[in-house]
Amino acid sequence: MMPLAEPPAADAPESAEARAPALMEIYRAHVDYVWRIARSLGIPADAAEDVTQEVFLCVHHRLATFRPGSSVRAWLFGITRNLVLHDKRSYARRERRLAALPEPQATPREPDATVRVHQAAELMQAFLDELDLEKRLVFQMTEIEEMTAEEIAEALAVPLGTVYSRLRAARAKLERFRLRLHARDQRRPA
Amino acid sequence: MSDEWTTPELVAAYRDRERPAEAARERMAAALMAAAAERSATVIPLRPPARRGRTIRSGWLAVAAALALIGTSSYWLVGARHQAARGPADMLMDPQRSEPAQGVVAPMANEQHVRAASDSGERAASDSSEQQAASDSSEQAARDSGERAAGDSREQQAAGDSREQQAAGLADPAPRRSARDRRPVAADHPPARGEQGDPVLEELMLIQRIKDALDADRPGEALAAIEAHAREFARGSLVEEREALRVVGLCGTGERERGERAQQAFVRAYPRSAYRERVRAACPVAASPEGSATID
Repeated sequence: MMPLAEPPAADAPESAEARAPALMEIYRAHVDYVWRIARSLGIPADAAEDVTQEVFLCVHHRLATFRPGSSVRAWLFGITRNLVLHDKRSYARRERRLAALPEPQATPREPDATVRVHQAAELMQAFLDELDLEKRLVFQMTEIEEMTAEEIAEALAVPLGTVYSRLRAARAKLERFRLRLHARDQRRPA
Repeated sequence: MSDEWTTPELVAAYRDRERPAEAARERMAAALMAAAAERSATVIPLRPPARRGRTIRSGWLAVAAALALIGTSSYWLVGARHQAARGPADMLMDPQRSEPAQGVVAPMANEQHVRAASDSGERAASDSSEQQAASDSSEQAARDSGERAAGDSREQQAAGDSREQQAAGLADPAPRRSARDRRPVAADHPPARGEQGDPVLEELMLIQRIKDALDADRPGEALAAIEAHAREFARGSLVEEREALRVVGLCGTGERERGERAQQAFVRAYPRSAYRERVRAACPVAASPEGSATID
């Protein structure tokens, strides 16, 4: 039997019922994660939706290849990275974005509660952008995505020790980043 | 103010901001569901004929896209018992005239269809609660929502076709439509039956079972599923598919006589079906319109 489009004939017997819920469950559970990974890999916010959707369409087509027992997030990371790396332009975008990165700074004038959240998000972003990609991913996966070191090692295909050492380095940088912020606030009292 | 930032605070704020907006999430979800429906329909297509199988493909893809849109729009159609006799079968593009890429769900573009679909779906739901299955009124409803969704008004011939087809003894033949501009309109055809769950999906699953069985060379099972579909979805959206599959099933398993009768009935009822080549190829004997109308 010839398949219609690109879907492989091998995994044909699965029904939509079996498929769709699994797909949508994965989507609901991990859409934010994929979005952030795409962003970390250099996809600008306005293109992140496209990439994220692309990732899940890919998930949809490859669901049958997922090995039960392995980490969904590690798997998703692989798909996302492949998609992003495949798109050379996104690399160029990342370079430009990093080059144009401003100094971390707090933004004034907003209601206090929201301004603080807003600032915190900005600071986190600024800090992540300072890290090289390797440390950034480990830091992000640990702190923001709350993945286990094993999952991260699987996702990045690096030894567990490497995960820990990158995480240590990233956390040290966060400390320095905090100190810098603090010093700046001292110099420029609000 | 920014003197004491804890990691959890920074992380929580970042996590909260750095994620897709609600609208984007919904858009992506809709596109995925459409893709899932498309996949489910494409993985089990009609068995390929000895020849001319390719002409069918874009037709099935179109069905898939249409179903996906219907599935999405049915969220807005809760409780509507719309008896409109038109379904995704009508949305099939004529493979002779369609381009290769037609019918493939393009996620971002699809989103607009989905929106249009839900919009027209709502209207259709409110319009149609009292409508009966009479082809005239269903034609009216379909035209009503069809115009809103895609401005497609080439449906005048449909009512006449419908009556003729019913007279020919086929359950709920779907009115013909022009081959183009079908996809946007697809979603405004609400499920024909809605007792429990999503009737369109149920119907799809049943059709899939037929295809499954045919693919697995279990003709008895396929014919049983065809009969089940005929009982449960006598006026369903996929009657045309069912009847096409019936011809394929009967002819493919040596039931030539019944196959040919079904084939003749199909060709008469759906003279412009996207499946007509496929159906003709299933039973190589030429189908003449004056055969028996019995579908068994």
